[in-house]
Amino acid sequence: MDPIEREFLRGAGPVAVLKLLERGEMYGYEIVEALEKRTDGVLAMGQSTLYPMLYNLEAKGFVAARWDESGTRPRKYYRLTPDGKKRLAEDTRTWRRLATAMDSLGFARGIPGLAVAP
Amino acid sequence: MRMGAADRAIAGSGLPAEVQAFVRRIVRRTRLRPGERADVARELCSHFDEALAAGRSPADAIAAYGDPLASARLLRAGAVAKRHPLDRALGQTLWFAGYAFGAFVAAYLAFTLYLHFKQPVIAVDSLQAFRERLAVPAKPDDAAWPRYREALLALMGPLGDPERQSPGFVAVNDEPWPGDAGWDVATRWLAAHAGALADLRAATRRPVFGFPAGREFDDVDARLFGSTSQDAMRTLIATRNDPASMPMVGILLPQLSAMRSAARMLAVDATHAVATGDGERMVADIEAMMAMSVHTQDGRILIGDLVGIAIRSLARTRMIALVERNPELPNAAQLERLQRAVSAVPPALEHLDLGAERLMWVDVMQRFFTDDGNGNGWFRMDRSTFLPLVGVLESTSGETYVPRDAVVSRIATVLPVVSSPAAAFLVADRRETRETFETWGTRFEEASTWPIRDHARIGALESEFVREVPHMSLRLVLPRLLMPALGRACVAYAQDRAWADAAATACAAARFRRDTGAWPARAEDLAPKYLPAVPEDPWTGKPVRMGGTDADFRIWSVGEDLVDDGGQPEIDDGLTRGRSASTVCFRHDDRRSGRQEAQGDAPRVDWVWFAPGDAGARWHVKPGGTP
Repeated sequence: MDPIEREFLRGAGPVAVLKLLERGEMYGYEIVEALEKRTDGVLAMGQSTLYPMLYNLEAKGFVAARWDESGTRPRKYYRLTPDGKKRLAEDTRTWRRLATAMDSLGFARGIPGLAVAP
Repeated sequence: MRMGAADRAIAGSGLPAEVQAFVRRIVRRTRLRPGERADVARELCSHFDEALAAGRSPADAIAAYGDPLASARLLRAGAVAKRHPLDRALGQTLWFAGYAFGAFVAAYLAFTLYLHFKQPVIAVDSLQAFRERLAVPAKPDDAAWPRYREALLALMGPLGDPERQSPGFVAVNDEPWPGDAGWDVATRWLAAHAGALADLRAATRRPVFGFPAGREFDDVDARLFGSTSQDAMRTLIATRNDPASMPMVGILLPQLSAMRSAARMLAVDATHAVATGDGERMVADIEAMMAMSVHTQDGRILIGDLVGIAIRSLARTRMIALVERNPELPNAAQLERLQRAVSAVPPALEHLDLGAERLMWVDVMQRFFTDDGNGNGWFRMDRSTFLPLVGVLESTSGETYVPRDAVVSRIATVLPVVSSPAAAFLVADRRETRETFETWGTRFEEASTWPIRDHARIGALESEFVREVPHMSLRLVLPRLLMPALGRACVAYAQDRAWADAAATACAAARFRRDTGAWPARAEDLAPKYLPAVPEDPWTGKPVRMGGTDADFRIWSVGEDLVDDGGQPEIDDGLTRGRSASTVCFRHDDRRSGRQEAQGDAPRVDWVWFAPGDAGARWHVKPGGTP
């Protein structure tokens, strides 16, 4: 992974996590698995970086965590907070503008999911 | 070791041993607080539990997780980010404070070692430099000291001799006047020692003092001053290059006390001479005292100057008193000799010269400061300088701060070393210390040339010194300790010059009367025949006042209050035996010691220079004020 790609993914990581949590609360390993499977491994960040990222999102108030001891094994679930939802909306707009711009340059044409309707 | 919550969580997770070890390693590396560690441990255990449940092998799960050290670092950053802002700020502050303290301790220790091993450089042999300031006799017979010594041994006996406790010796040292209780016994003692007094006078006629100041005392000196003094000087000289020695501070000058004592003998002898009608001996005694005062100033060390001035003051006031008592006794030639004697002090000796004190400052600085080769350095304190510094403190205060026993000696080895960096920062560096000495020394030297009417300026200068170099100043501790009360010294020089004028004018007036049969009506009558210039009142700069007939003729200065009272002092107390006549001359507050020449406001009296109508009675007021 070259430096540009690494920086790009570093910026995309938190947005991706927030986006995953938009559908409901998830625990750490579940997020790891989802990122790997749903992005075909593109956004499969190192597991060692996921938990610090979650801590940072929690510190900023974008996610909240709770321990669930009721199942067969204890799990720490993360969910979006209202601030997290606002942040996700802003990030979504930013990403769309970026995708549009890239699209207008012909980068995203023909790439499913990135093509933006005029 | 007590197991923490994190360890308990890991141990209770049921994960394979290698996974537990992996998680434990990460958690420990986070260096988080116990609660935070426990939370991280539980979450990582949960993570690996899920991974294993998903079918991964322990090794696979560990490999998939990534670098444990990088993870620990990121986890710590994330966990710290979750803390309350105030908590974070406090943590950062403590972190910085800890590092700063550690850095400070390291720097302090390094500086301690630097100062400890930075030995002082004794570049100046101050004792030798002091010796070089002393006048050198052209031939052996020019040196007065050997003859002084013989006379003093004959007069005083060796140190510890019962003669020094004899009634006659004690009575002479009390400077009696005819009619006093001790007069007869004193005069008998003087008569018995007439030969030794003649030797003493002969010694004063030699051109060079020749006292071995800063040198070893020989065995004859040791008889006069004691073998302890001889041993002390021998040790001082032998150890003068030892950083722990302070030769210029410890130099012994026992001759000063002996000279002062000899001057008292001559003063009483002069009085006895007048009482017995021996004008020649009276003149010889006054001449001898004046010459002694000049000898005493050899080498120009302040204490020597002050003793010289005291001897001169005794000679001049005694001469005035004796001429008042019997103005007819000295013939014209003798009066002229007296006038010449009381005025014959080399001008350089009439003001401050801190040459020897400068040597002392240089000597102390080269022992108390490191030397960077460019004239600067750090104040340096260890055993070799700490105890001498305490010694200076004790000698200036008269107190004993540090008893020299074994325990204190051990403490004194360590304490100064440990505290030396702090002292180096608190105390001014070598350059500033030297400049302080030099600046104030030069200013006081200049002030010592000011006339007596400028004594308020001297007081102001002293006040400024006290402000700039305060009593409790650590920064300028050495100047504070080692600069003597120079304001008082400046006043002493001004008084000395004023008394020279007073004594010369008295002689000139007596010569005028001998030639004309009458006392001069005004100061202008005396110049240029009897004095090179019209004598000035030192308080006004105008011609001194004089007037009256045989019965009430007197010469007077208006005094510090500048009010002309016609030469009539209202009080006699300060005039007793001439010893305290300077108290009427003026009052001086010593800003440093708090001492005062006279209590209260400026004396509201005239300063009488010469009053032959009183027949000397004004100098001889017995306790209780009864003449």
